[in-house]
Amino acid sequence: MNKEQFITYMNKKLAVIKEEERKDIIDEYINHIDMKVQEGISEEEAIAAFGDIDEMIKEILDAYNIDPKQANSFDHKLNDWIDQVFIWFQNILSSFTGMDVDNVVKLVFEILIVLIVLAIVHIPFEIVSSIGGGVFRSLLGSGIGSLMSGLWHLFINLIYLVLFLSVLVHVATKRWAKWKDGTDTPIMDDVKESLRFEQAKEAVHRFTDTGEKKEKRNEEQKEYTKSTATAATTSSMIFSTILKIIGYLIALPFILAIIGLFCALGFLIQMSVQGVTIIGFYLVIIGSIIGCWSIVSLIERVLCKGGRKS
Amino acid sequence: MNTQFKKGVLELIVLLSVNKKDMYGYELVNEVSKVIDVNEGTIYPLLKRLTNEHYFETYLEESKEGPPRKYYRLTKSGREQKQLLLKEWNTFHEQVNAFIKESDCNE
Repeated sequence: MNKEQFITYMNKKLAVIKEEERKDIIDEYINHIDMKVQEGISEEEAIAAFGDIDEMIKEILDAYNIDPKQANSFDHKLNDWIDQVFIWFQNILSSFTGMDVDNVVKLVFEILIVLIVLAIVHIPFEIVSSIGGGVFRSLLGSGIGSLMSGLWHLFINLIYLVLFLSVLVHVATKRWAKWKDGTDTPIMDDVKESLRFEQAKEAVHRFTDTGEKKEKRNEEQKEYTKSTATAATTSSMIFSTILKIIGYLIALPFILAIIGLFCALGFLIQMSVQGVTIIGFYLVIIGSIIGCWSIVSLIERVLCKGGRKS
Repeated sequence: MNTQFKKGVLELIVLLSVNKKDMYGYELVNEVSKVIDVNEGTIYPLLKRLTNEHYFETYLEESKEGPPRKYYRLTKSGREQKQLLLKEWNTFHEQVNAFIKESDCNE
């Protein structure tokens, strides 16, 4: 056992003693080890000279009138219980699938990642859907406009649903196949791959729709045909653009708030000119402006940094 | 040596050592090791217990070689405890020796 391991072990075993006291005791041992090392004895040897460490821990607990069995009992019970639950879980899983628990935990984690990525991808769809809806409503009036915007929402959401399901199925089958082979690749590669694939597909769908999407379609098809060597960079570009859009969306309300607050400030100044000065309002508004400003600049900094990195 | 013997007498030796002069942990371990061969790890819990029982008080003092050292000093009740243990030890020692002599004679 080296010094680090010793310290970790002691901390764990003496967890019932309050931190200050615990540190005090462990410091004594650390000093002792350091002195031994100064004399040319190794950490391991110095710790071995302590004798049975569990016995030593029992004596320390005894110095605090803590019954070592009592001190351990809760810990032990909890540990045993968790172990039992784990073994039970393991048995059930292996009886069903023949998979390791590690793999299952990994699978769950990977599914989570895929869901998060898909949730992020949903954002631009949402934007396109709401912008389109707004355009329809303002162009065609409330009657037909609402109907058209409803259809538009439905259409966009359907595309997203198709994308969502196919990415999920694609990734899942890929992972499954890889498991069978016993090989393993980072989940993000699979997601990126299926996303690119789906975007190209979706572009073909959209081709039949409107001319305005033509440009985007070309881009996407280009992306699709690009060699796999550049695949990673294009995907990261997509992600950074998405992130930037999210950032701007978050910043927008704050910018509007700043404008509003400046208007309010102007109003207050006008009131002061007329003879009514409310210092409290001034402070609140100036404080809010500074707050909003710092948030906006924070977002800006994050976005710029991200941009430079990518 | 029998570990139970050592354990019983360890407290007395530690009290006597600190009674001579204030000592820090590592120094004390070395001092005690001169008298009895004991696992170095077991002395610190004893110091802790004696401190908790107010036989020792501690103070920090700077050292040239490293971090400040924690020195142990005997308190009034510590000195009383030392006297008590010493007396007990002597009685015990005498009684045991007397008994050994007695059983020797009978042999």
